[in-house]
Amino acid sequence: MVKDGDNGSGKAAGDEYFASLVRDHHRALIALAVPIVGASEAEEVVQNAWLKAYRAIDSFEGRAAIRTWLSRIVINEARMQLRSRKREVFLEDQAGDFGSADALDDCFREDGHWRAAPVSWSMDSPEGLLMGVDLMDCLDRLLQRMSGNQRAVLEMRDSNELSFDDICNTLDISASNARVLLHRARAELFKLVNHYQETGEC
Amino acid sequence: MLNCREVSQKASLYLDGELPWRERVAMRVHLLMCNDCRRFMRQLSGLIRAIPFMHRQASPEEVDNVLAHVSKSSGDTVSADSGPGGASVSSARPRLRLVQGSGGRGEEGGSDEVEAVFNEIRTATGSVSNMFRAYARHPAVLIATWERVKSVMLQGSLPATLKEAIALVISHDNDCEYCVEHHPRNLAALGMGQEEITRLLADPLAGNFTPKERALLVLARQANSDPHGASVDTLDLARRTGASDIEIIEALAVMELFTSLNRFLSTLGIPLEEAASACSIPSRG
Repeated sequence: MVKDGDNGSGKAAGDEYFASLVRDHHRALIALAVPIVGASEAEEVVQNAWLKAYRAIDSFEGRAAIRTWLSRIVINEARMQLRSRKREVFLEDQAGDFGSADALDDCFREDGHWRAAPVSWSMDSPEGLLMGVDLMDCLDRLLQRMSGNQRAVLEMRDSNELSFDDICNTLDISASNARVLLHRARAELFKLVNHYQETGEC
Repeated sequence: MLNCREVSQKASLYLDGELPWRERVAMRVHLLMCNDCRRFMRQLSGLIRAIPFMHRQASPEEVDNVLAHVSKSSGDTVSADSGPGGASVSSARPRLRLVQGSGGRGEEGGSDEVEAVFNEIRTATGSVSNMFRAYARHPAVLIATWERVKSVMLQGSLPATLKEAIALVISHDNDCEYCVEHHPRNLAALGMGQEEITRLLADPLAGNFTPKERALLVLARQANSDPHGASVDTLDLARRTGASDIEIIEALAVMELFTSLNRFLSTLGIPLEEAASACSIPSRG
């Protein structure tokens, strides 16, 4: 469609910028695609999305965060992939009861007061909070244990800041269901971080 | 009076700004009085801000892989994109002979009847696309298809850009290379910039649409992929954004027109015209 013959001097700088986007967002986009199409096809979906993004990058106007823009291309590709394979949303829901209740429930007494109130976290910057090496490993394991839908909602909403409309359309779930899944996923993360902040391990 | 457990249960809705004001006020009152919940809320909010950064950076190898893939493919056109199922349909693969030229008695498969329809198509759209040249093998179906295209794309109340956008997105979803190639040309002819078209293809909802138009676009898209599921909710949304029955029918009619054209064209491997000027169906709003 767009046959762009311009291979001029602006291209090298643009490619460097593009490489930095790949470095910063590729893993997050893979994590976004995995619960939707499954681990084996996430790579291909994200590759195709990068190609589309590369071709359209000049038209990105910064109206949305670049991550959100990229992630919408990814879910669009993921939906095409599912359609071409004639599959419903990939739902690897063998996670049993995990995430089916509020992880923070047992932090409260019968009367609704905190049994064990959260400790005070050291939070210098939002970037830093989840970046401890040990914590990242635990986080990966926690995400693995989540149900496909729960993980998808967390990745779509909180990691990529997609709208609930996009989420409900992609996962074919109701808005209220998406909000419950999101809150439970956050509660799991909260519990993990709180334990890590308290004990230095997880 | 809210207790701490209830505060934690409603914390996400509160932070996302989705609580009704009465409950929001009750939350604020509790937070004013409760140190533990205030700390919980502050830390949950910090955690949510940290989530976009929870994934590591890609390794240099991963970055190189992506770049290699991109540079290998970026010489192609967008429509030649070899996505899943999107194996390039080359002009070497027509599975049906087309009625050439004027479509008149002098052409193979031509007749006065076909020639008359071709003339009408040429007057309305500038040229006769290969799609109509394929249908022309069966004059009665050609006439019926052209009538349908006229009523759905060239008449009615929805803006032409929205109809073309629906046509493009549906064709994209159905992996119809022929249509995905055609409709950007029509959108360009309607004054949509190349950049906006590229963006539309990458992200169909990013176009410059009103909430009603967006709802109709989403509705058409869902109706194509999942007529029993999410589209029912979206129908309500379209109504709430002010779409009339006429407009809903028109949006769905564009969807179903292109769903059928997509299947026809893809199955038969109808090739694109050589000349970029060969537009199929530029709609008028």
